Amino acid sequence: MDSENLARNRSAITGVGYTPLSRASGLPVDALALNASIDAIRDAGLTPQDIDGVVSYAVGDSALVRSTAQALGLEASNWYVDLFGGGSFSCLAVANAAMAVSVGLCRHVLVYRALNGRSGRRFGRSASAELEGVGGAEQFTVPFGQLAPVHNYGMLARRHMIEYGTTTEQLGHVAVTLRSNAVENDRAIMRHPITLEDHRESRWIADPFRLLDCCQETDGACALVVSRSDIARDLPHPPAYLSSFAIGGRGASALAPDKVDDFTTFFPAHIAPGLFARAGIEVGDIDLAALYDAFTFLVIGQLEDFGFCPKGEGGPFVADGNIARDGTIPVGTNGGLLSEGYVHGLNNVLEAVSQLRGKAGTRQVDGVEVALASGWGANVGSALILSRGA
Amino acid sequence: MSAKRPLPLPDDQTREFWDGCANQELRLQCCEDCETYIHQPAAMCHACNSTRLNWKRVSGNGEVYSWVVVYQAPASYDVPYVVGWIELVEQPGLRILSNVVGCPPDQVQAGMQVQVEFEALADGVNLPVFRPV
Ligand SMILES: [Zn+2]
Repeated sequence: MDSENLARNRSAITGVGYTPLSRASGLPVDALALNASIDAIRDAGLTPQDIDGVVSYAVGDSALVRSTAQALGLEASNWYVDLFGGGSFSCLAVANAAMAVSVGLCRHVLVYRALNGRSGRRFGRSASAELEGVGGAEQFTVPFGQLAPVHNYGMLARRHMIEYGTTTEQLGHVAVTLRSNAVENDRAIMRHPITLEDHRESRWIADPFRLLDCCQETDGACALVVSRSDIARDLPHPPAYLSSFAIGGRGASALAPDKVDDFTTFFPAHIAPGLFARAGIEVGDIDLAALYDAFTFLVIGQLEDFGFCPKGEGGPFVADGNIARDGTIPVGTNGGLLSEGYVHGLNNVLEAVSQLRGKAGTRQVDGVEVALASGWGANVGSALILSRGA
Repeated sequence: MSAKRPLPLPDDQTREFWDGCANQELRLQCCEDCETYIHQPAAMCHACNSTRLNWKRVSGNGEVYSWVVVYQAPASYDVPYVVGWIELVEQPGLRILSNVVGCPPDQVQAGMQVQVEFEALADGVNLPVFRPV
C-alpha cells in the first residue's frame, strides 16, 4: 500500500507556453502571465474556455491567479491557487494542478510563473539589507551579511568540498555543459559557448561561487496545461503523463543550522524513494533530469541524493561527462536556469515536456521515455516524474 | 563594518540572546529536560519536544564548519567578508551563523579554532563574531 498512487498517470501536461526571456521585458508581469498562458493553451489545442483551474506560485512579484483568470475570460474555473513560494515550488505548482485533475475537480488546469526578475525585483538582492532593522529568522542572518540564496547554497557547496573534495573546477563542468546546451536553444538568454577557463576567470560572487556558477536574472513567463489523461490522448501532442510527485525533505538551511545532522544531505534523499516507488520506477529508468540549477552545485547535490551516482561522487560524475546530452543522465538540456534563464524553475519542467515529446530540435536526447524534474528552495524541494507512456 | 547595516529586532523568544551579546556573553537557549542547546531560539526542543526551555551562557569556543567569502553586497557591508557556520564546543552540531573576523578571508579553513568576541553594531547592540585563536 505504501507505493499505491491514486494519481499515477491520471493527468498529463498537454500544452507548454513561453514569452521571450530577456533582461528587460518592457511589460508588466500581468501581461507576461497572460501571454505565456495563451501560448500554452493554444499549444494544448484548447481555448481559454476549456480551462477550469489555475495555479501559480510567486513571492509577491507576479500576476495573481484571479487577475490572469479574468484576463483570460475563464468561466467555469473552480480551482484557483496562488502559492507563496520560490524555487521549491516549481514542481509543487504542477503537482497541485495534477491533484485537482486526478480527483475529478478539473479537466484542464493552467499553471504559470511570471516575473520581471531582472528589471523588477531581483532575487540576488536582499531587500532586507536596506532596512533599519530585521526581526524573525532574519535577525540571525542579515546583520551578519547572510543576504541571499547564493550565500546559503555557497555554504552547502563549501561543506561538500570539505567532506568529499568537490572542486570549483567540477562546478565549472556543470556551467560549461549546460551552456553547451543553451547554444542549441534559441530561447536561451546566454548562448555563447564557455570554457572551463572562462569559468575560472569569472569574478567571485560569494566564494566558492563565481558569476558563472549563478543563474540568469530573467524577465519572462512560462505556462503549461495539466489535463485529464483520457482527454489528453485526443489533444495534438503526445501527453507527458504525471506519474508521481512530491514536495518535502529536510536538510541544511541558515534558519536551523543546529537541527540537522549534516549539511551535505539534501531534499532528494528524503523524497526520492517514495517519488520513484509511486511512479513504479527506479532511478536507472530515468532518461533525463531537468534538475533545479539556480547554482551549479545544486546539480551535483541532487545527482547524488536522487541516486544517479554515489554520495560524494557528484563532482567527478559531472566532470566525466555524465550530464551531457549524450551522457548517462542528461541534465539541463535547455541550458537550465544557468543559461536558458531563471523562470523560477518552471522553464525546466517545460523542457522535460519538450524532450518527452521528441520536439527539442537539435538538443533532443534520443529515446526519452521517463523524465525527472525538480525544484529546490532552502531545505525543501519538489519533484515530478513525467512519462511518455501511461 | 559600517553601522548602517540592519539591526536585529529582538522578540520575546530571542531577547535573551541579544541581551547576552550586549553584556559580552554568548547565551543560548537550552532545554530544561534534556539539556540540549538550541539555536536559533525555538518554541520547542527539537531533541525531546519539551517546551521547558531556559537560557545558559556558553563558552564561545568553536570551530569553522562552513563559510562563504562575500564579494558582492550592499554598500553598508564591507566586502570581502566571511560569513559562515561556527560549530560550538558545547554540543555536536550546535551551529551558529556568524562572521569570521581578524583573518584574511583566504586563510579561513575548515576546523579552524575560533572564539567569540563582540562587535558593536549600534549603541547597546553587539553582534557575536568569531576570531581565530
Ligand atoms: Zn529537550
